[in-house]
Amino acid sequence: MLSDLETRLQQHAAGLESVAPRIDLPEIRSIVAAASTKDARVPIHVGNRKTVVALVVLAVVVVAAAVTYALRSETVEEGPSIGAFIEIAVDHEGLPFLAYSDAEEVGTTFAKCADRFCARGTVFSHFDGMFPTIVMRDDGRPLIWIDGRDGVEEGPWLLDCDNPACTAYSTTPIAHMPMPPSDIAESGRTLMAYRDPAGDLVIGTCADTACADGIERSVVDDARHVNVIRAFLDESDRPVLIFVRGSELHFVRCTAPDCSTGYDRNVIANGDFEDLTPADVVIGSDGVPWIAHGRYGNQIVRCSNEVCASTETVPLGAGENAWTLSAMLGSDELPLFVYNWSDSDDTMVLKVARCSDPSCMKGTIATIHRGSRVTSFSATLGGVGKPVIAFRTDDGVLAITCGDAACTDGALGVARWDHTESSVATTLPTDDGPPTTGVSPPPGDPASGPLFEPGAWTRIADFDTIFDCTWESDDDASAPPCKPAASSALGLSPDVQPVAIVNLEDTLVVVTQTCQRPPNLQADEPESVFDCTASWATSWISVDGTNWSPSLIAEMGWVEWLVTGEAGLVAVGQTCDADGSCILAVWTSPDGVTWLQTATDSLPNCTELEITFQCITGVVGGADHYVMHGHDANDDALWLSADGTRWQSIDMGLADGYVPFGQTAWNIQGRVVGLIQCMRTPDQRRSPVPPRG
Amino acid sequence: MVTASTTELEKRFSTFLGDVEERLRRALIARYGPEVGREAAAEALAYAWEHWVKLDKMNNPGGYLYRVGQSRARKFRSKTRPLRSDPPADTTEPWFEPSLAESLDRLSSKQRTAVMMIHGYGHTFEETAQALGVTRSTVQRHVDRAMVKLRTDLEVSDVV
Repeated sequence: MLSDLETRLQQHAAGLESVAPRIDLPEIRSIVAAASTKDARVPIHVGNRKTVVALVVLAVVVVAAAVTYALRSETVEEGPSIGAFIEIAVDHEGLPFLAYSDAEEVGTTFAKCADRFCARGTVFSHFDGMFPTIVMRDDGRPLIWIDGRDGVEEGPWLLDCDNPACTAYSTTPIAHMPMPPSDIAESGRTLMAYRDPAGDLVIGTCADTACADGIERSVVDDARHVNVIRAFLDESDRPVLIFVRGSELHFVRCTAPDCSTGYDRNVIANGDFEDLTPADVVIGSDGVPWIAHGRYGNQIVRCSNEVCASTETVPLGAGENAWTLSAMLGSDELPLFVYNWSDSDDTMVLKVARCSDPSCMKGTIATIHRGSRVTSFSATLGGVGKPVIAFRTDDGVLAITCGDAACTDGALGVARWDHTESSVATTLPTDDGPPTTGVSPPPGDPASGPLFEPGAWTRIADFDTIFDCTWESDDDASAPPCKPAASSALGLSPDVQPVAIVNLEDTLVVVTQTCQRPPNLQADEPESVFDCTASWATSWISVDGTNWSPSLIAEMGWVEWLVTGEAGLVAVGQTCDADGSCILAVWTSPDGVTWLQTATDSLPNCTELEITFQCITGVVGGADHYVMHGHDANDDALWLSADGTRWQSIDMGLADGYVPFGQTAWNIQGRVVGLIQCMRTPDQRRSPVPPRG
Repeated sequence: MVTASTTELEKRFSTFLGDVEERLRRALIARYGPEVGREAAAEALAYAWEHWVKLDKMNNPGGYLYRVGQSRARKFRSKTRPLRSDPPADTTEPWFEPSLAESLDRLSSKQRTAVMMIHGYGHTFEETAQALGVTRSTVQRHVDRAMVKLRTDLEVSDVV
C-alpha cells in the first residue's frame, strides 16, 4: 500500500511527465543537425565522381601565383547538414583530403582537393560507414579506419586507398581490435586507448596497421571514472595520452612503443575537469609537450620535461571555454591551438591561438570564422606550412587555409596575450575586416626580458593531519561521524582541500576544507558537500609561513570564499544539517582565530537554489566594502556590506527578464567594478537583438 | 569487439534510446526541473548519437550520459530558476500541490533526484543507481534522508 506521501510524489511525477515528454530519435537528429537551420537540407547523393562546388565565401585576397596570401576560405560541398565527423589530412604535395558525413544520414564522403586551398577538387562516392580516422601515407595515399559496411559485410574496416583521391581501396576487417585506432605511426604501429569491460583504462598497441599479430595491452588506470581525451604516438612511436580521472587531467607517456616497459604518469591540472573537457596535446621538437584545455577560459600547460613532471600554466586570455579544441605544431615549431565556442545562441566562432615563443607567455588569437555553427572541425598543417582547417557550418563544408603561421593575416579579428607584462594586453576581435585595434606597446624596450625573475619555491607547510577513526560497515550510514584526533589539527588527510590564502596585515591566513567521505563513495569520485558525512572548515594562521595554528570556523560547514577588508576576514560558504540540507553562511573574523557566523536575515535568499556557483557566484573584499554577487531567489544579484555582518541588496537596474550572471567583480577603492553576463531567458532565446539593461 | 553496419548501429541506438531515454530524462528533470532537465537530456542523447561507437562500448552508457546531461545543463542553469517545478502558465490541468514542489526544492539535488526516481516515477533502486552512475546504497541513503525530510516538512506521519 502506498503512503500518502508516495502517492503525492507519483502525482507530481505524472505532472512533470506531461510537460516534459519523451525524446525521440527525430528530435535527437534535429539537434545534431543544428535545428536552427531553416533551409531545406541539400541531400548528399554523390555519384562516383562529382566536381567539387567551390565558392569563395570569406574575404579572399589572393595574388595570383604569389607566394603570400591572406586567409582563404572555400566551400567544399554545400548542404546544411553536411560536414559532421569531419577529418582532414594533407598529402605530400600539400593537397588536402577530407572525410565527412551528413549529420542526417549514415555514410562518409571522401573529397580530394586539387589545390592546396580546396578551390578545386573531386568528391567521391561515400563509404557506408562513419567516424573515420585518416592517416596520410608518405606517397599521398590515405589509410582510413571507419566503422561501417563493405558490401554486405559489417565491421570496422581499414581502408587502404589505392591513390591519393581514394577512388579505389582495399578493405581489411579489424573487428578483432577492441577499439578503433587512435593513431598510427609511419612505421605502421597502431595505438588504441580505451576503457575495457572491467573498467580499466588500457593502452593497446600493435606493430601493424591491422593488428594481425596481436595486441599488447597495458593497464594505466583501474578507476571507474576515467575518460580518454586524446591518444597518439610520438616521434618515437611511444604512446602518449591525456585523460580525465575524477576532476583531474592526467598525462601518460609510455617508455617504449608497446608500453611494455612501463610509463610515466603525472597530473597536469586539477579542478573542474570532466569527461567532456576539450583538451589536446602537441609535442615540441624537443620532445616536451604543450597541453591546451578548455577550462578556466582556456589555458596552455607547458610541461617541464617529456613526461610533464611539473607544469606551468598560461591563460589564453579572456574568453569562453572552448567547446572542442585541437592542437598542432606549426612549421616554425611553435604550438597552435584551434578551438570553437559559441558566443550566442545562434553564432559560433572558430579561433586559432598560437604561441609567439616556446614559453607561450605571448601569443595571438585569430578569429577566423564567425556566424554559422561550427560544430565539427579538423585541423592540420597545410602544404606550405600554414594551417588548414576544415569545418562544418550551416552552409556546408568549408576549408580555410591560413595566410601565415598564426592565421592572423586576413582574420576577422586578432587578440593578443602577453603575460610578460604586469597586465594582459588584449584586443577584442571585430566582426569585419582586419584587426582594428593594436596591442598596447609595452613600456620601455619592447625587446626587454621578463619583468620578474622568480626565485626558488620553498615548501613551508603541510596541512595533512591524522584522521582518527574507522568504519565498521561499508553501508553503515548511521555510524557516528569521525572526529579528528584530539591532538591533531582539524585538516584531515587525504580529504583536506585548500580553499584560499590571504594576507591579513602581517599574518597569513589559510582556509582548508575537510570532507569526511562516506565509506561507500568510490575513491575517485569527487565529493560534494552532499556526499560528506561531516565537514570541517578550518583557518590556519602564521606570521612566519612556517609555524601554523588552526582554528575551527564551522563544523558541517563548507567555505568557498575567503576575502579581506578593513573590517577583517569574511568567509562565505554554507552550513549543512545531517540530512544534507544547506543554507548560505557567512563568517567574520578580525584575526583568523575567532570566527562568528553572521545572522541570516540580511543574507541573500538562497533557500531554493544551489548556494555556491548558482545563488552566490563570487565574493570580493577590499577597502571598506565586501561584495557578494550571484542571483538569489528574490532575483537580487549584488549585495554589499561594510563589516561582513549586515548585507544590503543593490539594485543593478537590469532590464526585466534578464538574469545577471556575475563573473568577476572587484572592490577597488570603494568602487564595485564587475563583469555581468546577461543570459536570455528561454522566452527570449530567439530574440535577435537583446534589449539593453 | 562490436561490429555493426550503419543500419545495425542505428537499430542498436534505437534500442538503447528506448532503454535509457526515460530514466535519463526523468533523472535530469528531477535534478533541474522540467525545462532545463529535458533540454539537458535531449542534448545528452544527441551527444550519444554523435558518439555512439564510443558509448556502445561502455559498461554503463546511461550513467555516463547523466553526467553529460549535468554538464549540458550548466549552460542553461543561470538562465532561469531551474529548481522550481512550476507549471507552465498556459496549463489548465490540475498541478501538483505547491507545498510538495517547495519541499522537493528544499532537498539537496541528489536527494530530490533519488526520491523522485524511486517514489515518483517508480524506478527500482538498481535502475536508479545505474541511471545516476552511483551505487545502490548511495541511492538508498539519499532516498531515506529525503523521505524523512519530506515527511517532516509536509508534516506527514504516514510511514507504511
